[in-house]
Amino acid sequence: MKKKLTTLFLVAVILSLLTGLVACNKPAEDDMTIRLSTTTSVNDSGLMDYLMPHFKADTGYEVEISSAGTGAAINAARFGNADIILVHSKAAEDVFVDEGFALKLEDRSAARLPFMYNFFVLVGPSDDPADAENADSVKDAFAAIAAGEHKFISRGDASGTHNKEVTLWPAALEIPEKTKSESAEFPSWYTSAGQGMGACLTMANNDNAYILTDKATFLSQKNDSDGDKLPNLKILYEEDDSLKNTYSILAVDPDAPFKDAITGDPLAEGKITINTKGAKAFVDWMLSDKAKGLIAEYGEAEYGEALFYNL
Amino acid sequence: MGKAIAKAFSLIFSGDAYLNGVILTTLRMSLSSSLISLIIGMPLGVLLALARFRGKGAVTTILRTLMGLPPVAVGIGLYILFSGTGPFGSLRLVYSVELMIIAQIVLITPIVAGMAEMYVSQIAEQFLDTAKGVRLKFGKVFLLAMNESRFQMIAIYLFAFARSMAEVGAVQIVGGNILNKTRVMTTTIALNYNTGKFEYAVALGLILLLMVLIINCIAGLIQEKLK
Repeated sequence: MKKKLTTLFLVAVILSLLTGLVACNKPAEDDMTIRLSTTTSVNDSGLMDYLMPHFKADTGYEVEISSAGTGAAINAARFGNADIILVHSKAAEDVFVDEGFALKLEDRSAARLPFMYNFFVLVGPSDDPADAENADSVKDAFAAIAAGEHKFISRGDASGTHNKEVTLWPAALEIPEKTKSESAEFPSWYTSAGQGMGACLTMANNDNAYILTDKATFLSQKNDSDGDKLPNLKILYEEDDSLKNTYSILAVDPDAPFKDAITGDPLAEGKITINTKGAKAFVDWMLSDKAKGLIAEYGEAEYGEALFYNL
Repeated sequence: MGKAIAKAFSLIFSGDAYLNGVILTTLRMSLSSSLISLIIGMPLGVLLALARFRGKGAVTTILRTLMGLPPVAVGIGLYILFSGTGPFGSLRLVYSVELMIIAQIVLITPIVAGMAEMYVSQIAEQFLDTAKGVRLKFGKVFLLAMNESRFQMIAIYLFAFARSMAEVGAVQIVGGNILNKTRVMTTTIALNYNTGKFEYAVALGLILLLMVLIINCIAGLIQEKLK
């Protein structure tokens, strides 16, 4: 009996070694891997999955794309876990540049490289009780929603979409201030969901609520292979200048003021390895005419309209 | 739901390379983390149940508290420790399956140890009395207790495995859900939920359940063999 037990344990040890930690502690990553940190919404749109096979075929680089909320995606670079970031939150990007984390590549005019844009869209119930569709501007539409106390679903997760939404409300509501405070009390018609775009859209559809969304996620749910997933919602306001959503690439500076994650002390130079050569190849390719052509085509086949526009 | 079931089956039989990759990563992560947790946690739990020492109550309470470690907090903690700027940064383990395995081990080992301790402490009293009667050394008693809990061990292992497979909060943070690298079943389900592909997400959930069922059957066979 004891023998059986010992055998069992031995088998377990061998199995776990085989499957598990053997591959651990491999030598420094070869230079053909680029670590790209991006936001969930960029990843969810499917654009990168569509572009990256082309990039790999052209340059040989493998891009490992990790995705998180805007804050976490940018922090990945601050923690030395990314060679490059692709985000869409200008205020947060400017802070990143000011702190000295972004690298101005040779041949480029700035460290922050805006390269494409699309528009957020205001969607809401088909009968549009706030008459947002006929508002003079998107801010007027938001004011009408607030005035009529119509249900609104907010991402509430400090994402690029959420950061945009809070700027569109009438100042008197103090939505941005309430968003920052931990113990905020929002108006009863305003739901701060703390969820991803897809989940929030479903919520808005069920509640007949208004919601600010990126067009890509909305269209993909509208045109799902199993039919329209958001039958109660339609686009009410789009292509307003204040709804412009600009995407930028920022390469991470190997000499950035990295701080020790535990003590907060400045780290010795060279402790963080950044694949700058790979980052440069990525930037050059993403800003090339070929990539521009691919980006302009993305979405045409599936939804009959482009989801992103080149800058 | 019916659609999701149909989709689950068509996915299984389609031999989809993307899905196969995700399943393999999931198995690699769950099998190794649950086995390592069993190897570390089982002896610890049995030892704690049998040993008599001052402060045993406190240690037991700590262990039982650790059984409820919040996965997201563990994920963030490990992310910070293993980040480039963290103390273990030079290992470059952030966004790797290895770190996902480590996260699972941190989460599951207390559960394995706690469950083992709870089981063995039930039988410890009579066990120790008998051992005293025949004057067995503590090492022998320990081995006997380990042997005595071998059926329980299978159940504990299954629990650990299922938990490892179903966990999403920690692995999302330390793994980053990277395509063809750290994407596992749960993070794929979350991704599809976020993009509104609910049926695909539910279908993947059913496949995940099926995987747990298969491991259950294998464990059942081993349990039979042990009898």
